[in-house]
Amino acid sequence: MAFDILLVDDSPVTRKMVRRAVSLSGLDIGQVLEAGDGAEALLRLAERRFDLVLADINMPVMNGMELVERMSADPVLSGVPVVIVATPLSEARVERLLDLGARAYLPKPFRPEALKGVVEEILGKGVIHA
Amino acid sequence: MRLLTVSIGGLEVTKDREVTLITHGLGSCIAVMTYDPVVKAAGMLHFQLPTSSLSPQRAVESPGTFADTGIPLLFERMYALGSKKGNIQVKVAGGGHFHGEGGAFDIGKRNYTMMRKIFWNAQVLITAEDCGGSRSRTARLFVDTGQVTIQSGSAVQPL
Amino acid sequence: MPELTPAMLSDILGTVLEDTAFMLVEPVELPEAWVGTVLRSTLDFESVRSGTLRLTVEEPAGVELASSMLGTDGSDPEALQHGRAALSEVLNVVGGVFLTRYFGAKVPSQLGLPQTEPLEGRPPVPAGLAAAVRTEGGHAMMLELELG
Repeated sequence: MAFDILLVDDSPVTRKMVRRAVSLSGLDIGQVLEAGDGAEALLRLAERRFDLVLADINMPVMNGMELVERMSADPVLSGVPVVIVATPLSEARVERLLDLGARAYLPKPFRPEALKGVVEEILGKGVIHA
Repeated sequence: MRLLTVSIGGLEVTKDREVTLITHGLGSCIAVMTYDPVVKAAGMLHFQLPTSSLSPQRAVESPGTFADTGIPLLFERMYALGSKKGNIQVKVAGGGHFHGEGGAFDIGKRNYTMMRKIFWNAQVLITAEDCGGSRSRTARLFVDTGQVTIQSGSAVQPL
Repeated sequence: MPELTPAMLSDILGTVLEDTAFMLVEPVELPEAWVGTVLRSTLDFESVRSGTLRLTVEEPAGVELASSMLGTDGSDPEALQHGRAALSEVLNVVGGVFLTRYFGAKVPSQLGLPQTEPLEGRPPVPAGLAAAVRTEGGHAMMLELELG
């Protein structure tokens, strides 16, 4: 079963780095789509199902904190795991994000191996990509 | 069982299952250990410096001294033993600091950064690492199993 | 709070460049001359004290940064296209590292959004604390901090 992933970050360079790290994970990755902010992410989430959302916090239009709040309040989206990949945050903000239902927080700069580990843990080992 | 020592700036690859690859004195240097469980090939590099650009002559004489010449050579030697890139597991150890706080411009950190850059460019992920801090390390790679251990003082831990 | 020094700024910048972009840089004196097009990224923050961080670079350093982050070489069209985005992202991460390192992880802080633009004319002399590094390609990068 291939996993479909949504990358949410206003930096196109970071989206490419995260995409590459995800592709090296060894999991069977299906479609990887991108959004430049939380509002665009919600549009993508309304169009189709994703197995995982990787989201930044500091973004224009709608930031990652609000995206997590909106997703946690939605009966369908609350079931989609969200991993926050963001520049170092205060402890209070990390706690708030986890309380809202974010599954994990990975501070930037992130090691590709650490991202791989988090993604594998959340999605399970699944089918290994040949 | 026999020990095959990798010296500073050295590189060894082997499929001899009687061999344990070993390297000592990993301070700011880094040991890169490769193992292919399919063809049972193992390799070890002990590099000292991140880039060869300021020492092209030394890079020719001793490519294992530098990350940017040693790591590609290690993989070439593994391929020569029949390894495939996708099967190679990579473990690394070392990159410590022994003066001051070990910040951004410390040689151990710079070795670590260059190594990660090379692997990122080659789309290789590190399987396990024991890097940083201010411990000197000894690394062993057992060719029969692919197991790696790291020793600091009298403490030996699997990696 | 730790003492604010140029060495602290250069260590933060050097660490972020190493860890985010796998770039090796050397700390240098503040540049007296800048070559070619200069880009500046600006990021405001709020915490116990508010302030602004600025990252000023010669444009080729932005391309170097993007190519290193993407794992390509500097002639890759993607690297050429994403120099400014790479600069913004580095300053974004610098901001987060600075806030937690200087004010601590327990203090509520807020980062703005980095804005990156080419500078008209030469960069002004830094008003606050500043530190500079030089990339492997020989290009200058300067990080400034103004605290309110």
